[in-house]
Amino acid sequence: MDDTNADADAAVRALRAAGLWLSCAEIGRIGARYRDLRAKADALSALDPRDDPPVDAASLAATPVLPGEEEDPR
Amino acid sequence: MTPALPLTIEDAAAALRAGAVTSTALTRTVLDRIARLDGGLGAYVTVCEAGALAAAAEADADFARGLDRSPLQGIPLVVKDVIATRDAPTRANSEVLDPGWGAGADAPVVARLRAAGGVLVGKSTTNEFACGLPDGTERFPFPRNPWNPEHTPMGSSSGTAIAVSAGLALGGLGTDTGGSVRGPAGANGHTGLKVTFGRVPKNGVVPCAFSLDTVGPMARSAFDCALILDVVAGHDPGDRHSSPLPAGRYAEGTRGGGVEGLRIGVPTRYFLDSPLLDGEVRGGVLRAAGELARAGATLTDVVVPHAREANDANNVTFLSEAFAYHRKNLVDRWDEYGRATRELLARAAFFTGADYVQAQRVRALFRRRLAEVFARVDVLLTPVSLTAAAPIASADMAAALTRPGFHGPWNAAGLPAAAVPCGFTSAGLPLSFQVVGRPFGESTVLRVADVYQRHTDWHLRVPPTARDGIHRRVAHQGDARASHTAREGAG
Repeated sequence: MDDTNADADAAVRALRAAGLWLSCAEIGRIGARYRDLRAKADALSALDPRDDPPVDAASLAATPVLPGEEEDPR
Repeated sequence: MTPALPLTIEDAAAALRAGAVTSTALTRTVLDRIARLDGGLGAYVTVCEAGALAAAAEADADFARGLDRSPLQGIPLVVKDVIATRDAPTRANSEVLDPGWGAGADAPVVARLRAAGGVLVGKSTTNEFACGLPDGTERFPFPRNPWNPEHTPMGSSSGTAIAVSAGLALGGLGTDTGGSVRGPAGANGHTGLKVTFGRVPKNGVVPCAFSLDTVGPMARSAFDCALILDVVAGHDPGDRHSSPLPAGRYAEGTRGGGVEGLRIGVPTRYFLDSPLLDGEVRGGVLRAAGELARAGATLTDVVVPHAREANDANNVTFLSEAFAYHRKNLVDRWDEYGRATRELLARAAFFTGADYVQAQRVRALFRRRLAEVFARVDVLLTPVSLTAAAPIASADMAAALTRPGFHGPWNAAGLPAAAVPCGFTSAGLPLSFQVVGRPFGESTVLRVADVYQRHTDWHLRVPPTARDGIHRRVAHQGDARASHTAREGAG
């Protein structure tokens, strides 16, 4: 119960910080996924991408190969 | 009486050039079918009857004077209603979008279709802003799967998918940010291609997520998709994400050979071993792999590292970028959004800026690890979705965010991927598999699909309620094999 209340409180704070002041029913529906979504984000943070910088969308469109490959477009 | 509609763009193009049919007659056939069938399907938001017939007449006149612009000349097509067209408003299935969005001008992809002689029949239904779910309260058509109207056509390119499946257009365009071309193509029993990020310009398209959005072809066959891609691919200076790399010759590449010696990676981990993956879906994918092996391809079990994390990174990215785009309107006009859309987007508030940046680093990591995979294989073969099309009553986009997803990793990595029909469930719903290629490997992806489609006829099946008035042919190649159906008579 304590974890559930903590999740609900965290969801409400996050939504209000984003400017969304919603009804209890809406907060209940939206917040029901809070823990699952936070777990997903936290799992990403646990990965070690080494020194990989964020992907650059413009380079995705301009590079015919995957990182580390020589350019040999098929 | 209007003529029967050919099954494919390829067939229609041949009939037009043989003088067996005119574009005007084809277009009238499609318009008649829309009038007869679309009330129960919800594929179209706007039908541009006068403009379509004028374009068809122009195509016929061009043929008469010996002008042949492209295989799409005279072909009735539809575009998703997030893509701007000069002769119809762009609504994105929302009351929030400015009615004047698009400024009455064609998006580059639409201009290219018209310049190629394509006949734009209208604008197709989308989930709201390409990311919500229809909930029946919107003042837009409610899309239904033509194979079973109680089931979702999936989305968000639902209208284009319905139109292709039910013969309400011969092909068209959708958009794909996290599966919105492949999911509906697979759910409706035809082919759909998510292109490499930047391969097709997306200016003039309502944004969903800037670093993920793609525009892609949807049609019955892989070859038809290649015909459309030949027209719409290529750089446009108005889209800063538009690739400067020259476009390929996709129809030529698709029919440019078989799959002998092609290395197909079939990843079991995450993609085929999920307890949530429907057994009939798994069976369809594995049978498709077997068919390609019989055609000469080499199958290899591979592991795709960080596939789950890449899918989750795609969801963090999509939600965060979409929320940034919509935030002001969500704060000011919350009630004007559909309930499913606003509640989906609001969940982005649970992610921090650091979460978003980490998701972009994970995308980079995933691409680096994929290089190791593609050193061993030429394409990957996976399911498109966990299940066939779900009942409308149980469709839940929020739940989908927490389940395994087979679309998102390829959006995250920017790679091309196609949905290809491969059978039916015991309940008569389409099954499909996904072919994933290297960056800018659309020709290889479509060639694999085309070889499969030369040995099977799933892509030529038409929903029972839409069969009247469509040319029936089981397969267009003499060596088509008997196709396994989980339920005899499906299609």
